[in-house]
Amino acid sequence: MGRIATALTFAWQGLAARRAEALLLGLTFAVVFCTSASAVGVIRSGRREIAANIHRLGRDIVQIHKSLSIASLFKEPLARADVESCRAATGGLATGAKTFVGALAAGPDRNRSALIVQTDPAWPLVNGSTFLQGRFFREGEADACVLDVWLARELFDTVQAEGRQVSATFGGTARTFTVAGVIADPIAIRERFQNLDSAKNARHPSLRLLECKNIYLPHAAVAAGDDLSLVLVKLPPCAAPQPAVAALKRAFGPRQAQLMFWARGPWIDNMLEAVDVIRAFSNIVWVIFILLAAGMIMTLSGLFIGGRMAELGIRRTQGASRAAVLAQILLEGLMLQGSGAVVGTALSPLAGAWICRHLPWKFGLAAQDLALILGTGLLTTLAALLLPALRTVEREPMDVLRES
Amino acid sequence: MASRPDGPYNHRMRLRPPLCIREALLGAARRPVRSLFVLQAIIWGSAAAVFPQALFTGTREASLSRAGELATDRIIAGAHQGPVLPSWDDIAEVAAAIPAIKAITGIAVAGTEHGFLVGTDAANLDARRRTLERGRNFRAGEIARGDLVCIVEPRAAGDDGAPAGADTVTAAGRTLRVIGNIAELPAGARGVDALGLGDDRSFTFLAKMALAELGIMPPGMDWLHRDQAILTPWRVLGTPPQWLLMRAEPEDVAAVTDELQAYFARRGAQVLCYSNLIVGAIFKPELEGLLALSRDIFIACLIMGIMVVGTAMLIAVNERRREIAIRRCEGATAADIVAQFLLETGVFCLLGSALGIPFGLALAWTRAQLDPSVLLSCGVPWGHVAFIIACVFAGGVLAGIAPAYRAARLDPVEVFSRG
Repeated sequence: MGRIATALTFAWQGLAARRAEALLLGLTFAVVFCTSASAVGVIRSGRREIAANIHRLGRDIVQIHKSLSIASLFKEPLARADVESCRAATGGLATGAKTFVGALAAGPDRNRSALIVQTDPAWPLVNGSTFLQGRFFREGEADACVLDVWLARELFDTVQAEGRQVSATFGGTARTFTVAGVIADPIAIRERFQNLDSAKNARHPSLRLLECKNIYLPHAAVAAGDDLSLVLVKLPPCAAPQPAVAALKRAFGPRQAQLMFWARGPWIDNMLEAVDVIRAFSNIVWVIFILLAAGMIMTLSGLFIGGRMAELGIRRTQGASRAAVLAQILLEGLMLQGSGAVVGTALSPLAGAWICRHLPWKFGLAAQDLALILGTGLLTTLAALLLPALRTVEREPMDVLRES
Repeated sequence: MASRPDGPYNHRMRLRPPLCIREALLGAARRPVRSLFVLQAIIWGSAAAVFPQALFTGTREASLSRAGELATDRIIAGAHQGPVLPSWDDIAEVAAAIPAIKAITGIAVAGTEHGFLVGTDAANLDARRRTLERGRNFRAGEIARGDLVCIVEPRAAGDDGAPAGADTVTAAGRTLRVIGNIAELPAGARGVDALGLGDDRSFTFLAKMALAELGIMPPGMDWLHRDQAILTPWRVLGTPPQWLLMRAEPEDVAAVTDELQAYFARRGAQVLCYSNLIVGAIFKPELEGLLALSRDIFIACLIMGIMVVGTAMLIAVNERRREIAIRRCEGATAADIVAQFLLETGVFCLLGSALGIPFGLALAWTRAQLDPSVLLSCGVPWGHVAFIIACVFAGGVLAGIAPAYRAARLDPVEVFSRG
């Protein structure tokens, strides 16, 4: 205990004698910790937010639409009767929709093309839609429509669109609908960057559904006919997607060749794997940052200790052992690192929030991330201090005093 | 007020920027590894700040200045099923409905043994920004009558596989009189598909797979970028247009594709519009938010750099006590010492950005070379570079305040008496 107390006293005196250097070194540690914690927090909270958003698309949903192959180009193989057979094949819920791009108008200077989804009132139940305002249209409400939140903003500059009028045109048919509700975007984090999707007009209408820039109309509202572009099936709880897809294929018999069975669950997993690749890359960058920070700390520590050779030499001549001087140097480093860690991690939520103002998710730093940063920081600092400290204590006190 | 001693020393010991710069550079060169570690925050910060701006500037410039070559102004519209329009006469209606379209042509394609026979009109060359190396464009009468004439692309071949001759060529069983030859595309513009992806680019295959995963699967349009087409009046083929090929200002391309979809929806038709993937996003204000992120990284790195350089210089003052004392004895005032240290620290920090900026530009160039899109380019964002240099120098001067203050307070007598 006595030795530790002595080492602590000398370490404190060493730092106090060079207040300016100690302050700047401590601030450097604080900035390193702050940057490190905010970077880890931004990356981890981004991954969490993306995963939470993408899961809202519904892992238990299977989308069936016309194959995009040449063979099925001239056929429309889905009909309203297929919805019932899908329901029977899986034991889940099902709904059908006809999708096509139509021209919308909400005023003289508010024209926009959007995906029209002609469907039935079961749609939100099957798709798991969440409403920001209002509700879905009901059976018999032929003049009601529902908008996705992005479209509501584009047409009315606000999500408060309930009760407003939208005109939809397709071919020779133009009809006016009253907005019954506004659906939230399940992938809310893309809100800020949705306009950067420059390839949307190259996407087949059957595949534009998940852009969530759609208007939902009752069946045959502007395009007549019982044919469907897609059938949406919500599987019963605990049903695995692959056996369900196999059952659906059996139900369609030979027509399955003209259809595409797209289970959202595996697609979500693929997307998350892609996100993980990006996260792994970010982690590599973070490790490089830590290593370079270690090099920087080592350089500064070397300079700091190198300027105090005479002082340490005198301590050795006064009887301090090599271990005592080593302990003093390491303790000085740990004291600076500790204070830097406290200040840096305390500031990291502010820095993280500052960075996240450009990103569509909020900053969050989990306890395990904090432990990881502090642990890595401690080990890195010790490793970075050890080399210059060992170099210093290895020198003979007389040589040091002669040179200084 | 202390008076400055007269004499030759006085003049020489005043602040001399070239000497300070030399001292800063020599100091860095004496211990290059140490200097790199001390300067690394500034190096990384400068690189991180210049990297996205270089890509953004280069790509924006390329999309405007090389629009014809890289086809950043091109839009291709095709129907899901059958022809895009029922008649060639309807093309004029499309152009009238969307004023932002600068030129528009129809395309009907018939495959031949060794290339493509493309039925089109006289606007084809203008819409595709192709020029003639020899001969002339179609005349209105030739298009209206469906004369057996043609304009050949550089790699076009007749049914017999021989390159298109100077006078006639046989394609899809028709013997056509050659009235013009299209000039070669520049090397970088060849093999560019409808989405702006280059055939010879690394990762094009991966990009196409990723696009397919997101529902974007353009059909084969080899007639567009293989340079193997023989253009002939549309009446020769006798089929309605399968594709519309348009040209608009690059910054209007995204809006035109929206208008096209709305126009065709009003007609009761569905079209898919293909244009350069990047050009639709590069002019959107949303991109500014992402660029601001790099500015924040730069600020964080600069703060760290100021701390590190400030600490290193503060420690260096102790090593240079004798030098400072000698300068003071030779007539330098405290203000001269302050100015010397501030300038030295500023120049030392500038060395960091002098390493970081080229590094960031090299990273941006490498990134552009690896991208499947031919449009992604690297340019030097001069304004941004000047901003980085100014910030780094100002940060360096800030980092030098504490060391300069300490150096200026050194008493030469005390230094020499205590050693």
